Amino acid sequence: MLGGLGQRFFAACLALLALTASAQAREFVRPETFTLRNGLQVVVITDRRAPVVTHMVWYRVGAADEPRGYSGIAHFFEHLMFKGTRQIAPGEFSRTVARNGGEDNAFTNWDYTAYYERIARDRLELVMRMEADRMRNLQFSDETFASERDVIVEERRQRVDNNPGAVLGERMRAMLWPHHPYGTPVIGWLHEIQSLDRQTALQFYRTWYAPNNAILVVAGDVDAAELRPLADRYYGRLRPTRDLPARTWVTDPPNVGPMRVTHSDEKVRQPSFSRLYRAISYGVDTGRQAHALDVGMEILGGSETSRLYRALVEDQRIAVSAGASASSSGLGGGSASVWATPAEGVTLEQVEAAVDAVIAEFLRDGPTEDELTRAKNSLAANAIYSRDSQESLANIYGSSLAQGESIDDVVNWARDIEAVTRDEAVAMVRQTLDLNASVTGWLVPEQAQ
Amino acid sequence: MRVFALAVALACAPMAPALAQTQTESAASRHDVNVQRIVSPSGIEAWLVSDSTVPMVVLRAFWRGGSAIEPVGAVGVTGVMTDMLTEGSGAMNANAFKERLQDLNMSLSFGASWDGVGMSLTTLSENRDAAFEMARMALYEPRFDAEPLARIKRQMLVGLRTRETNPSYLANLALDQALYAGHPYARRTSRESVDAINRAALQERHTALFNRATLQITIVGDISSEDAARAVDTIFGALPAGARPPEPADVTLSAPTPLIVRTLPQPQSLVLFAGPGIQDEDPDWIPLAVANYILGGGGFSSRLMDQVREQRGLVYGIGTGPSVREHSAIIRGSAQTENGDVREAIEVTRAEMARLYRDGATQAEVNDAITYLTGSFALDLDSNVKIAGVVHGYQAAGRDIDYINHRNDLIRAVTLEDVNRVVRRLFNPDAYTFVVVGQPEGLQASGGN
Repeated sequence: MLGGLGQRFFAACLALLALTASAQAREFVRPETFTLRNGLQVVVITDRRAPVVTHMVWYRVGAADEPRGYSGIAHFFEHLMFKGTRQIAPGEFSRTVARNGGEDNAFTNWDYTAYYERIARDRLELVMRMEADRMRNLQFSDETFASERDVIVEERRQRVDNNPGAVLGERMRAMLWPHHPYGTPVIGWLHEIQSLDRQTALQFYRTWYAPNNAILVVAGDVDAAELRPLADRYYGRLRPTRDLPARTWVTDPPNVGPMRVTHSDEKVRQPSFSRLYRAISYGVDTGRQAHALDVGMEILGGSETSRLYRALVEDQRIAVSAGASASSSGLGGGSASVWATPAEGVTLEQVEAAVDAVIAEFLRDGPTEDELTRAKNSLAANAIYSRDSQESLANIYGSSLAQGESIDDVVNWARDIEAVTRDEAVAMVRQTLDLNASVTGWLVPEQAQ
Repeated sequence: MRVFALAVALACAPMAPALAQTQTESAASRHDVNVQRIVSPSGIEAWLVSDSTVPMVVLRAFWRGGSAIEPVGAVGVTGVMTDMLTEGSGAMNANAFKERLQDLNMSLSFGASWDGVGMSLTTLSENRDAAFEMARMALYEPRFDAEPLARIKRQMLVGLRTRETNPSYLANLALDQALYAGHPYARRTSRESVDAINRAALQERHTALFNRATLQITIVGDISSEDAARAVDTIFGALPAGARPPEPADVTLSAPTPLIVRTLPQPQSLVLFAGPGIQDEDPDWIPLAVANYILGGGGFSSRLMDQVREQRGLVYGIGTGPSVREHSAIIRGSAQTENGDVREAIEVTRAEMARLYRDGATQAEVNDAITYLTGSFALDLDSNVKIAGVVHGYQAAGRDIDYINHRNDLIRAVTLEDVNRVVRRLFNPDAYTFVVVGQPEGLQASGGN
């Protein structure tokens, strides 16, 4: 499912900056950055190991910006952007990239839509020319629009409707954010996808697909001095959208108590428990709260050495999996979750009670120094290894900037994680894991209802 | 979105676009990787790619002998044995071992496939001696403690239940049973086989599989050849000479079954199809890569994507590719579509295969496939982790050490005649078995159920 993908993706993102080990491992290269006169922000991350580049355009528009009744329109562009311009025939974009030995694709979140090509460095100019062209000159027919809508319906069936766990996840999000657009699935509700029309799509495109609403990230065998003239030539001539709308979203009403949903399906053989809470995000945070939440949730349930896994899976043996995590990305807020899958013969009531007991114990006693250090270490470990991949680097900077963070926020992330204290971590977990701001989901076999 | 390679929309393009440029050889298709053969003081060979750009080391090892040679009463024991290698070693119980891995910021995992067992280690170069010591302990001093073994078995039992409604599991099982009747490749774990796994069985597999006889090692990253040779002896030096484990018989594929249907309540059906393939040492292996790109392997550029997705909007994705096990080789494809459209999707797929089989590919298609396959290869070689995967794959396939730098020349040499020979040899749709899992409408199964 698209939404879930975005969240997992961010966990990897955060991973970039190293905090453990030595100064050498901690050291992080700050990317070069500049902004064109038309407002396009450009970020360049040099890695000379292979003669290839990752070229990404991130638009600051996603599913949360859709007009009411038109869910799925932001994601629709992932497909439509490959349908051509006056100069590029339908389908020719990807065909040209492939003929030149490259790969291209796109992805969508509530906060952004991104397009990328990975290709030999001597083909960079080609993809810049084509990507810049479709930023303002997209065109597609009614027939193309309708046929692609069928493809998206199949995409939705494949990702969501075939999968009872994904269906439950959609319902839980819709309850957690009853008014805010984060409660709407990125791919869209089926009945709204089926009624999307070309005119609304074109309006959405003209409004949001603009250089002053985009971030260009290029990673790999290139530096800013080489990139700048190309960026000027191809993107620099594009007109910005005047009066770009502010991305202001509605606010949810206060929670009035715990919410619960049970979803049953004849395909479910194994029951499971999960709970979602509203949480702080890096995009909203002005201090170190999101960092503290990440550390606290890592201790609680981030690995097989965490509190939840040890208690439920190893010690009590009532679950076969258990964990917790913070999804702290998001321009307008984030979420946190806990989950467990019972062992044979154990009820969902039993595992849910056991999860609550572990949370209560954690909030009462707090973590040990070892746990605190190990959690920070683990968060940062992924960070160090992200440096191996130019795609990871481009993703981290692109998604962070599109979700309200600055380059400094990313560069300083490891230092800020390292500074989290035991009390800060416990306080943020206490504030976040509030049953009154939660949705509990039970996935059960059909006969159980 | 990006996890699924077929995410982007694209239609067939009849005209030559102004912006698209004619393909020529890209710089990246001539990018060399320096693979050295090193020999440890005790005489163990390994392949090394030394590169100090990122301060990390990746190590992969492989031994012949996997799930296919398990004793009949112990199906599944190989995977449990490899999982148990990181569940406690020497003086460290499972928790202590996992905490130590986290404290070292390293990852260490073992796994089993049908035909072998493997080890994967990633470490910061500054911690590498400690990391290699952890790998050594995991390999020689596994505790096979009762508690983690019982936990893994509990998890497997839950897995047995959830797979009953997993379309991918059901489709692959049906396909393996249809193609490999009577061969170990058609076997699966069961409640009885899981119950039968005990400490003695783990030790028996450990002794039988881990020796020097078939060991293959690849090391990539920030390490000199001298240090790498020493590391090889640290980890693997004490392995006994041993002998190549017994092999199962080569598979004789069963006659094709045109259609097998497995009913599962869901809105979309999963379609798998497979026919006879070739081993990777076959002279047609490289031409097959080109032919497969044209049929269904090229993402958005393949005939199947064009006809089934772009022209008709029937699926979100469809793809084909060779699938090789030590004792069998097939060509395999998959797609998912609404229950009401399954029949049409299968008919179009068969018709497209038949058209290619009858008329052959065109020179333009072959040219496009070659520029893609040669140019995109460098995208698989831009990080240490990716290089380790590619080099180790070639090592396991028995390629010569410089194959990685010749591979593109072999692809460039493929002619239209080569491709059409492979098409005639392997793409006859009448040789294919189709499996459908879902609630397809208007389909008459010819086998199964």
